[in-house]
Amino acid sequence: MRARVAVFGMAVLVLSLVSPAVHAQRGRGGAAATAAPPPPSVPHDPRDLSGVWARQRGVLTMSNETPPMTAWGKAKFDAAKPVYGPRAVAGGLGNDPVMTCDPLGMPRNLFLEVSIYPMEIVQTPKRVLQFFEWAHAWREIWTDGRELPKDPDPRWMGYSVGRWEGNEFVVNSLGFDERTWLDHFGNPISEEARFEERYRRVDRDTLELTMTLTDPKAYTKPWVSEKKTFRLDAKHEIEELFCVPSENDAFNKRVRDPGAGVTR
Amino acid sequence: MKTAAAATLTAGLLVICVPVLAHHGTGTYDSTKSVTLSGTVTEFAFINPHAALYLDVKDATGKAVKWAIEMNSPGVLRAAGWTKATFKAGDQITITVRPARAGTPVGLINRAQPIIVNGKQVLAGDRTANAIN
Repeated sequence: MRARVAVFGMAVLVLSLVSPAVHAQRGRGGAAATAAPPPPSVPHDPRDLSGVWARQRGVLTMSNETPPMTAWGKAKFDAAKPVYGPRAVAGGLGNDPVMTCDPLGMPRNLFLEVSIYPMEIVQTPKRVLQFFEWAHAWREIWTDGRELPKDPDPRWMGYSVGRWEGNEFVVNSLGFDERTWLDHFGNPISEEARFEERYRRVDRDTLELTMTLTDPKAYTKPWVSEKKTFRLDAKHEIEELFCVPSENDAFNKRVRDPGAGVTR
Repeated sequence: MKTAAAATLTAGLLVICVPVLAHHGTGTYDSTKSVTLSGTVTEFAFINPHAALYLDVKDATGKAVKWAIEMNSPGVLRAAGWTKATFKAGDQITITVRPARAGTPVGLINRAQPIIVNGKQVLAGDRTANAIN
């Protein structure tokens, strides 16, 4: 038995030496992208966005073309210490709100930045509801004809109303909380932000989304996103994936802090 | 004895691999390196948002070093065939990680490599596994 362990250990070592290619990392989205596309003729209702949608390829923010920031925006950006991306610091040294289980808020939830956690859309007569698997968060988009509030108190998810323009579902939002990060790179968003989303279900299995962020307090011009694509994942049921503060705190103390060489 | 020797050998060796173009980077772990550890499980925390595995790995002098291994969320791991019973305290395991840049005994699981529990390969290497979630 022990001899077998030893042999296995050495075998693993040899394997890892000779096969560097196996270390390539691909998310579920990347793997799905290589699968054969479904037949385009499957019937669907383009005005029904219901289903569990998984993000496909794309950058984990609006687009790679970040507009110039205002002084306020730049200061907020500089204060952010992300744990992902080109400015990444070690986990125990970062200040991404996600590290303490603070809400991702909007629009960050939409980026499904952790690509394996999808979102579910549920349509009811007066609201469209989005359920994000990460942190078990949800958002409501009112479709009962109401207008956006004039001077709302900020909210993590903001306030959203939606309407159909042909087969395009258009959502307008405001009233975001400045404590959120726009994305996991630490880009800013302010309480003055206006946000528009345009959804189109181009076939049964494909949902497209284009977004425009207009935030004069943080950016000197609007930021139009690349076209985001989501794939229907009919088999997936949204899991109970809470970010549990007490468990996360223990994880920070036992893994993230020592991993960063931090002693508190 | 042989186990201890193998553990020392495998734990002590750094394997340099080609840099990884991860879709998002991590500042904590060095994705250009892999360390294969053999040791004794002390705890398997199958919790959100990240599971974690704790194990004692004997160093060259025979002293137990406490390693902490960051993993994916339980949902991701379940989809890959894991359960909360994949490891239990006392298991002798061999597992591969991306080590912390800080040089501390902390790593990020490298699921592209197989995992051996009590002499038996329980999980094959998953080439598509995305370790940073």
